[in-house]
Amino acid sequence: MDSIPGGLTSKYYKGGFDAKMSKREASLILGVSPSANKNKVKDAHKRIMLLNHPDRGGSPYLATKINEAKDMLDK
Amino acid sequence: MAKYIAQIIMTGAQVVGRAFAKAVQQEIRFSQQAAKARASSGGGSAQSQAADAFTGMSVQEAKQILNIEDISDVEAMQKKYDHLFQVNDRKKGGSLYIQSKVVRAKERLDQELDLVNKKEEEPKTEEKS
Repeated sequence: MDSIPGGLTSKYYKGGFDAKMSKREASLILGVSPSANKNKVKDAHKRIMLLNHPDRGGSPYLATKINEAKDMLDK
Repeated sequence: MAKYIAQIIMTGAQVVGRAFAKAVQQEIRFSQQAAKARASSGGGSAQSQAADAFTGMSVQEAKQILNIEDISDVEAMQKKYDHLFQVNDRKKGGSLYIQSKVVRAKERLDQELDLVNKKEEEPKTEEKS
């Protein structure tokens, strides 16, 4: 039954990353509100980045997305 | 006076013309790049492309997310998946969105493996009959 994508495991967000990062996606990636202040964004980025650091078996692709998300919300 | 006006018009036309030619060249280059990207990502079968559209994730992106090269190495894929899934668990301060992408990437690659396996089985049965 695992072969039905997004059918039964609906707890998870569907599909891949957006082609272009949006504020909404960035806030979802870092788990903060889109209007969060700089410190909150910084803390969240640090936490998520530590978990996903490529040196610790993380995926470089996810790491770039996390950095992109931070840049998006930093503005 | 008329001579100067003519000169100004000429230079103006030249600038516009050059910019237009450049824009056309750029447009051609972009369309070529897009075609190339489509050709490389659409390397899979029609079924695979349908799955790309249905799941909203290409095999290429799924591979990047799980950081693997070869999808037939099931063990390595499972290992990466388990690691990334746990690391991004919400209880440990991870983000559900990233965890979701990891889950979807695994789903997509499992699906692709199914498609590949089915395709490998088909010719064999044809040979037998």
